[in-house]
Formats: sequence, C-alpha cells, structure tokens
Amino acid sequence: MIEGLLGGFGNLFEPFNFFILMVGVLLGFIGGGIPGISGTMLVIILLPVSYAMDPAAAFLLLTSIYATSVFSGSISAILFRTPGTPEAVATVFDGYPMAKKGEGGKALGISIFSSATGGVFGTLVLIFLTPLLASFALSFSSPEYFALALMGLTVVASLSAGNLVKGFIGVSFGLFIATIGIDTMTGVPRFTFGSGQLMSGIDFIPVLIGLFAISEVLRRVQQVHKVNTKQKVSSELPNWNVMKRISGVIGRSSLLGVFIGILPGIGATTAAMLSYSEAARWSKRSKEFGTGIPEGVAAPESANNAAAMGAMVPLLSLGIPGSATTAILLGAFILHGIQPGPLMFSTQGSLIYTILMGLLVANLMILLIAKPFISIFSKILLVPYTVIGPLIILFCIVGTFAVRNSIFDVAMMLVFGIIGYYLENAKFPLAPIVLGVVLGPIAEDQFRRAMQMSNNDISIFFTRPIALAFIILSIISILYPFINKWIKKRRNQGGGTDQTVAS
Amino acid sequence: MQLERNLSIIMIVFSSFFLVMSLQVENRTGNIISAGTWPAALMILMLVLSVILLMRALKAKDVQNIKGDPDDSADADNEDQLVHPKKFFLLFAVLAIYTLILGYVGFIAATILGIFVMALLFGIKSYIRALLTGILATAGSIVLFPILLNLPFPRGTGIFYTLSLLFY
Repeated sequence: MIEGLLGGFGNLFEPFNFFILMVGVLLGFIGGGIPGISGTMLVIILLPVSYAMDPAAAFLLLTSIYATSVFSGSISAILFRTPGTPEAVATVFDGYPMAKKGEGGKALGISIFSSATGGVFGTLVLIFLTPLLASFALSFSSPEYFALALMGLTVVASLSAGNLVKGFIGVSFGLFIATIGIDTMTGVPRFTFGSGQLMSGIDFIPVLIGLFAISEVLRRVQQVHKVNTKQKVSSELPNWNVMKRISGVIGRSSLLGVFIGILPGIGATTAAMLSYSEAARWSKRSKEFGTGIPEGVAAPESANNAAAMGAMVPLLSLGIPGSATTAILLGAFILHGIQPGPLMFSTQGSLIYTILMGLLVANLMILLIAKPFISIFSKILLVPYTVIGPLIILFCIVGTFAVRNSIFDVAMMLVFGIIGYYLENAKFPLAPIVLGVVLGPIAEDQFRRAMQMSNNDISIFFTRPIALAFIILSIISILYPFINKWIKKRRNQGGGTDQTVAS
Repeated sequence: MQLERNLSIIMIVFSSFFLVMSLQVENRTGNIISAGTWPAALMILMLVLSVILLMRALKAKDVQNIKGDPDDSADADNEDQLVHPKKFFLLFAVLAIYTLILGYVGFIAATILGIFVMALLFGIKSYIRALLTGILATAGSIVLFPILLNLPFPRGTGIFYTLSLLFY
C-alpha cells in the first residue's frame, strides 16, 4: 500500500497532472462559489473534455472539482445566504448570521479550516479504511435505512426546541412535498392534478433556493439600503482559541460525515444537516445555534467535505456510487474503459493511488488557495445591495432553471419564496422543511420496502439490532426536549420551595 | 400571533384537503401500505399539530388581551425596518410576470427588462444605471451559462428566437 501511495504521489507531481489538478481545484472553487453551478454540473460538463486526456489527468480534474466545490459552496452561503451548492445549506444557518454581525471573514476562515480538516480526514479514511467501512455499510438493508432517515428527521425537529410543534409541522410538510409526483414503487401519480410537470415531482433545489434566498430578497426589498462602506472582507483563519473551541465539533462531524457519505444514496447534504443538528444537540451552547456561532459553521463544513470523500469509498471499492456526483464519476470510469470495484486495486492500482493522493492534495489546497480566492470573490460585497439584490435573484433563477431546464421549477422557487417569507415571519424554522424534502424519498421508499420484506409486519424495525438502535435514538431525541423541560421545571419548583422555606 | 393563527388555519385546510386526496390515491398493488398511506400519515400528523398550534395561538391571544398586547413595541420596531411593505408585492409581481413571459420572450429580453425593473425597485435612482445593470447581468449570464457551459436557456418565440440565435 505504501508503495502504491508513493507511486501515486510521484504521478501526481508530473507537471501536466499537477497543472490539471490546480485547474480542477480552481474550477471547483468557482463552480461551487457561484450559486447555480454545482460541482455535479461542472463534472458533467467536463466529462466529455476529460475523455481526451489520459485517465490519471482526467480523474484528477474531475475528482478535484468534486472535492473543492463542496467547500466553496459555503462562500456565498455565508456572505449572501445563498448556498453555492446544496451541501452548503446548513452552513447558512450560522454562517450568514455571523456575516450579518460583521464576522464574515471569521466565518469564512472557519469554513476553510473545517472543510480542509474534514476533507483530509475523509481522504485518510478513504485511503486506509475503505474495505472495512464498505463492508459495514453493505450490511444495511431497508429497515436500517428507514431507521437512519427517521433519526435524521427527528433530530432536526427537536433542534427547533421551544418550537417543537412548528418543527414537526415543517418536517411533515417537507416530507409531503417529496411525495408529489409519480410514485417510484407503483407508478401511481400523486397530487399531480393532471400536470405533466408535477409528474416528475418537485425538485429540492427550487424549494431550498425559494425558502432561503428568495424569501430573504423579498424581505430586503422592503428595507432602505445604505451605501456599503468600503469594508474589506478577507477570510481570517481561526486563532488557537477558536480552533480549540471547534476541534471537538470538527472531529465528531468529520466522523459522522464520513460514515454518512459511505452509505449509498445519502450524500453530503444530509451529512451536513445531520452533523449540524448533532453539534447543536451535544453542544453546551445549543441555544446559540442559528445566531451565528463558529460551531454552527464548523459542523456542516467539516461533515460535507468528509462525506464527499466517504461517498468515494463504495465507488472505488465496490463500484456503487454513494452520491449523485460519484454516480457521474462511475460513468466517467466506464467511459475510460475502467470498471470500478474490488478488482480495481489490482488492475488499476496506479490510477487509484494517484486519485487518492490527488484528493488529499486538493483538500490541502483549500487551506492555501481559498484565502486569496475569497478576497477576490468577496469584492462583490463592495457593490451596493441595489445591484446585488437583482443579481442574487438572477443567480437564483438561473440556478433553479439549470437543474432540469424547467421554467416550472422557477415558478416553484417563487412559490416557496413566498411560503418561506411568511413562515419566517411567523418564526417557523425553515431547516426542517428542507430536511423533510431531502430525506423524504429515502424514508418513504425504505419504509415501504421494509414492510414488503416483512409482509407488513412492523416488528422488522425492532428485531434488527442496527435499525432498533437508530429507532431508540430517534425516540430519545423526540422525548429529550420534553424530559429536559420537565427536569428543569422540577428543579425550579424545588428551588422555589427551598427559597420559600429559607425566607 | 395573528399571523401564526392565520397560518395554522391555512395548514389545517391544507392538511385536511391533502388527507382526503391521499385517501383517494389509487391502490394498484392491493397492499395495506399503498402509495397513499405515507402522505396520509403525514397529513394526519400535520393536521393534529396545526390544530395544537391554533389552540396555542388562540390561548396566547387571550392572555395578550388581558395583559394589553406586549408585542406592540416589537411590531413597531419591525415596521421601522421594513419601510416599504408595498415593494414586497411589487417584487413578487415582477418575478411572477418574469416567470410567465420567460418562455415567450426568451432569456435576453425578459432578463434585461426584469433586472432593470428590479434594480429600480431595490432603489437605484438612475434609469441608465438600472438599464446598464440589466444589460451587463444578462450579458454575463449568457457568456457563462449558454456559451461556456452549454446550458439551453429559453429562447422565446418569433423575433426573440431569432435574436437569441445571435448570441447562443
């Protein structure tokens, strides 16, 4: 293995390969930074271009775009509340409030540091633990997947502590949105009202952009915009104290991210969302989440980069893609006449190790290149909101349209913009809706498959140890806010009685 | 609180309507768990929670009536910030019209006009600057998306279709 890695390192530093890697890193930054161009889209576009190159250069280009675009999606998420990529949606929750407080540079620095750490950690796992982790994920079946999705849903609902009812309404609304369209298992149209466009369902990108970006623009158009002061936004890497503060969060989120990334079908977006809520749940500052704290940026950013690398594990070891982009990478391998899978390490060892070393260097490059890149990218901040506002709307429209080339999606984005505006006015948490839409298809499909497996015997979820463990965790997370409230109430009552006695 | 009450009523209507719809979804397999079961369960959950939310909102209203509405000052602050409430409806109208005409007049004409009007709505005083914003933003997106990235942007019909062929 060590020989393979050294060989890969040597291949990587061949001038042309290294040049291609740098091009990939920069393209990934730009692609991820601009809302509407996702890493997936860039990989698709450059696939035909890469066919002309030799496999090592081609896969260095595609995988480095994939690795770095996950990070750069956070730049516009922090600065403009518009996630550049879907993976950065959870970064908005604390990144944007930090930027609003004038801590944009700090938030970007935390994002750089967390992304690079998460990415490097994910790559190391990818290199050393591929066979072991892949075999664990392989043992998962429908009941386990459903239980995992359920846990994800209950986690975010309980995140809206104090607004538990609103959180659960949001989750059920999001899950319901995901059911619109042709049912994948029986082919029955659901809630389509005869519309051809609704047959393919409502994509989660218009929902996401509408709820978070359009609602914000609709709010800001009502405000008076002062001319921007010439504030220079440059990212500042976190100092020792902040690093110490977020190191635990980064460690936990990276682990969780890699684990989720390895599971096929659950990508970096879910990993970021889950790790955000886990960080909120276990933090001493759980109530401050959503107000702009470093942990809220560190958790999703380390998790999504780690998950992106984790998603490569089943691709390289088993030939099963773990996410949309890795599915395209699978296509790229086949296009180059290579079949990913267990045999790949013996037949294409040199290529695999070059890719692995390339991913490691690409993630380290985030630390080096992100800072100057952001200082150029953030010049946009000097432009007044009177210009930025219409441009954000334009990016939202193009970003939504680009997913399926559909004007209907643009209309959906607008509808969800209005919904998001009013829900936010009524202090409804928006994140549970997005999580419902993202996890909805997995939760429903796996639930129904599990029920088919067991002939409609619900005990299947309680007789399989991993599924049972996830379900117990879900129940705990639903009950935890209530128990916590009850304990506090009891304590206060106890305290009150003591005081009365003392007085 | 009034908004919360209204929203919970809308949600009750929404979940009741789609609960009925879910129960009417065709069951092709004859299985107990059909295509309508999952959405029906979700709508029951949403209905119950919306009723709870409505009851809470009504209860809170009663308490406020007794105490003399403590939210008054907060509302006033909020109104101070959102000084142009009409612009919300105007921007929504512009976006709705933009979406409606996009397929007919194509990306170029719709976007130049759309961004021009939006820039004025956001507060650009000069018509020339607003128009320049529209033209430059449209030009930038055309170079980036349909030309460099081969995205098939809407071309419109008739003369707008011919116009689009000059650029992408």
